[in-house]
Amino acid sequence: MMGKVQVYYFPMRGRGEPIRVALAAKGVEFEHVDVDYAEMKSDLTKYKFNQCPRLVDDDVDVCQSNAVLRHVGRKYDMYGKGLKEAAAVDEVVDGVEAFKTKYLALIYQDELADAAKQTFWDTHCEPASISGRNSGIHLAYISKLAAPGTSWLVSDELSIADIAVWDMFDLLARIFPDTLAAAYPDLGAHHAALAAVPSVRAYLEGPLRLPKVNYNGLG
Amino acid sequence: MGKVQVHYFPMKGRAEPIRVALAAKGVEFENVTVDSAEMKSDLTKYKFGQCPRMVDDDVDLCQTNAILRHLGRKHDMYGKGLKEAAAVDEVVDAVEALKAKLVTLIFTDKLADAAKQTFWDTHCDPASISGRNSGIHLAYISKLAVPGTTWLVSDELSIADILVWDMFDMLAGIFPDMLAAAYPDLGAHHAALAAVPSVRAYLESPLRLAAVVANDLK
Repeated sequence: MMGKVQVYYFPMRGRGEPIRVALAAKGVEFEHVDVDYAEMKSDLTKYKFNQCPRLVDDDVDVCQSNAVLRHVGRKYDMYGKGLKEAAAVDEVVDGVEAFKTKYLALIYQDELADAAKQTFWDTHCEPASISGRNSGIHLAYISKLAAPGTSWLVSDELSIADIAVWDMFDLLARIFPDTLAAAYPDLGAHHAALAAVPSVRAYLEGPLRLPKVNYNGLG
Repeated sequence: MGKVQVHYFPMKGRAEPIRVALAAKGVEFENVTVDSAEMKSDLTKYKFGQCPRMVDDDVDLCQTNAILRHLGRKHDMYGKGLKEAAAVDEVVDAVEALKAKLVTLIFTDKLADAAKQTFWDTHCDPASISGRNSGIHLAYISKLAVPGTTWLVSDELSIADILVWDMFDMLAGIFPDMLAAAYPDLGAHHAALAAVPSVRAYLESPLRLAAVVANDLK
């Protein structure tokens, strides 16, 4: 197959977005394919967990958003240099994933109710609460993973850690437009810097950046 | 240049796959009982206020699966090439998702009979594979096994094998009769890995701790 990389997902950002941003950042041509829901729920060869996103390229046919992201990281040199940076990338990716599950609960279960939003902020975002009861899930932990002296979060090279954090910040900024940037100026600067990378900016301004964020329209 | 250190509570828990992986590759390590006060206060060592944490010549690392992936890279337990690496990652993530449900069963539901049955029906019974399970089911994991490879996704032992082995090990403690009957392939895999000389030596050694989880439930 010599065609474009295919990203199978719903017609929204959701869990497909970090994959798209990563591919775009590296100038990898891809196409968005609307997943066939009936096929997703019945074809275990293609959809090994009856879920999407799913990515198909010349090397793999892979599901699980972070498995896909790690493949993109390995294939396109977005995994840092050497063992130490690779491990730092993994800590960030796992930290963001844990945080994302709380975000998704806020969106889909709590439907962004005011009280739930406040609890989410107080427990998992408010910098002063970093060592509270949070099961190790807090934006401040993620923010502190930034290695001092590197151009990007954990390496002088852009990595999937940067992509994962960028997307999470992007989603949070839509919900906490004022408090987030004030509480996390470093992450805000990181967000702006990545969005200014020419290949990323071109993606963000293009038709592959879908308007719908989450399935229920919230966030 | 000393031994690798695995910092955790004095039990198997989330550190066990790390220990089994190190042992499988003949890497000497020591168990260090974590200082809870230090864990909750020293963000340089404990970046999420949690353990396990592993320290070797290359890294000082937290997050169980970040540690396992590091071991996978360092000790050739990540398959060969991009396709096998991706297959390893699919397994690692799938086991983690199932483990989260198991942790709820053990710590929140305290292994109550009704909760055990619901867990089995929703996430283990092979017949329920495409039910409402959020993509979390032991049968999905079982089907990730690549036909024709010696181990789950590669001819070489990988961290995917280690994690599936440890998950099966925990589940077997809770569902001793149903599990082996429903998943003979995983049972055979479990026995085969336990029979690898370096693994067997570890399982019979004092590094293999008796306690499974903190509240003494299996």
